[in-house]
Amino acid sequence: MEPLTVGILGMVGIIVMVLLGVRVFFAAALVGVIGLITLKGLGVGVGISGFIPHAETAHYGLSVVPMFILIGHLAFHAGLTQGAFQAARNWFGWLPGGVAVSTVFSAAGFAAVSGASTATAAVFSRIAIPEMLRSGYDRKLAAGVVAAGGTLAALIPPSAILVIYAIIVEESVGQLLVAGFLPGILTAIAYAAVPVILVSLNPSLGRSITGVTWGERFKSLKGVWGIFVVIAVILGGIYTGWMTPTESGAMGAFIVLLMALAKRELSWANLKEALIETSRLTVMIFSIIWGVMIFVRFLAFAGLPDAFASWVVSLSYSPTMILIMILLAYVILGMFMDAIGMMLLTLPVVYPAVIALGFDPIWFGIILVKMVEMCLITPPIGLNCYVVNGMRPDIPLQDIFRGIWPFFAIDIVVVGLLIAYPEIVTFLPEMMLKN
Amino acid sequence: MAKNTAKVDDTRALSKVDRVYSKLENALNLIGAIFIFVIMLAGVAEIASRGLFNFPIFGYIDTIEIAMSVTAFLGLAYCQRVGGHVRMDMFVKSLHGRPHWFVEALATIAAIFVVTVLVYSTFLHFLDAWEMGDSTIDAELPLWPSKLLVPVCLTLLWLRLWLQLFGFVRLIGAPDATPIAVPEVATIDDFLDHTEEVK
Repeated sequence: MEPLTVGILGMVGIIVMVLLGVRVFFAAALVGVIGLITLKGLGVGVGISGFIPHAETAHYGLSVVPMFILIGHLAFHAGLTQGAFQAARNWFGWLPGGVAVSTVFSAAGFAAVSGASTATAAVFSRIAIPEMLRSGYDRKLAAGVVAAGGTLAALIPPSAILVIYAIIVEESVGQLLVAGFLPGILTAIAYAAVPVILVSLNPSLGRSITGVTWGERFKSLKGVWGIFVVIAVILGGIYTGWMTPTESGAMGAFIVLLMALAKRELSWANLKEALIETSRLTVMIFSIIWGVMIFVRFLAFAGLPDAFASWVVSLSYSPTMILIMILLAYVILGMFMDAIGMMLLTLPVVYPAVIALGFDPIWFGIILVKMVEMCLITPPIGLNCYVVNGMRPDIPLQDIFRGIWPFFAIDIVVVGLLIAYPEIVTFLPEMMLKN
Repeated sequence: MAKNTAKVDDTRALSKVDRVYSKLENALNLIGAIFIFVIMLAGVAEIASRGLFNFPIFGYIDTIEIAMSVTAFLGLAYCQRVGGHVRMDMFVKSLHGRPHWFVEALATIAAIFVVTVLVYSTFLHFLDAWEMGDSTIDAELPLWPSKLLVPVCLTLLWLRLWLQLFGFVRLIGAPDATPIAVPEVATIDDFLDHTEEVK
């Protein structure tokens, strides 16, 4: 059999298995092992599958992943969320749709200490939705802004998913993390614009908050200084090159730990729980990384990525047009698949094609993560919407999905901007290289 | 009558093995979790030592690399038990009763097959390191213990998968029985309960 045919059969095999509910890392490793043995014989197949699990985990660059996850788990205990929301409310509450705007900015602040979208959505469901409903906000808008706000965690550093992308495509983790910062801020501003526009057009959707003094504003910053310190340590450390991403993550986690201890909110049981949860997520992420890496070796031997890339390049459409088609495919796929699984399974084939079309690897990583996050708010399995619904069963799921559309629409505008002006993504990492 | 008693005994035995084995998995996962804390402290210590005394800690990177293999593998069976490994469950969730357990059992057999191969292949990889005296680059720490950890943890995962397969086969026979020794299906409610806890 031609290697390419084996590769295509492998792709079909993995899709069938994943659809049948085989866990992604088993499916990837299984197809990878069988494919390698078919193409290269038993010795090579066993050799490669024996070497990869250890090689892809005992790796210094990857140790940043547990650090970033740990920061998020500890941040819950340090009370950073509540403080961020209070401060944002005092500073931005006067705007039309002010409480919703505050929700976006405090979610962005929380995202700076957390790499997980669903956790952010859950926390803000509890803090921000009651306040919005009290201020007479339309519940669709209130639920929509929380579900959408959660997705900011994937772009604003520390972001676990960007690290995974960097590892798979062998790009600099530091550059990718730094690259996510401006698009993250841009998305936050775009999300904040949604309630401002909607409420300006229809003031019955929600009231602004008035009568906050400057004294109160500055006082509320006390609750968020920790977030600024973590941002400064992580971004500053990586940007200047003085710390490796792992070290900046370790430092960030340590600072958040100290803050939680200072507030006396962190018991032994809580710390243990945070570490166990971090460990569970770490194991999950690493298993999928090494499983997919075995699969990637097989695909490379089959020549499938190269063949796909040559085919894509030979198409008579412009690269931007092809890119948009690929992104549309992700939107559809994302309706049915989990973010990490989807990214890891498609990247080995899609990435070489995108690079062959002449796109920047760092830039594509940011666009891809943006797409993956948009899938977290689209039906039928927009996880963030389910999280909001779980926290607030009184807000029906269909209302949440309706509330999401303005944010989804503005997301498309943001992706369009990032495609039209790639400098928004590449500016900071390029500056970093010059330093 | 005798047949019924035998069935109850089977169930008890499976549930007991599951409980005892879960304790082992929890303990190993906790050790993995502690290593995450160690990686954090090592990172802070390295920054402090380098920043304050201009003296990088010898063997820092090597230690982290070894710690990473501990973190990434010790919780492997635990993660499988709690249903922590990513999968797409839309199709499986749409099935009920016997067909549901049948598809779950098939997926578990696929997993057992690949883990069997991986236990063998990663063990050979360990043997190479053992025979050649492979070590880390800087501090020249021996690599064989961390390479041995991989087949050991995969074997623990393999045993957990067999337990789950027994659990599923039992449910194929009695689809309405209380599930024992099969992965806990994570729901949004579990996630939220957990978030409540951490908060």
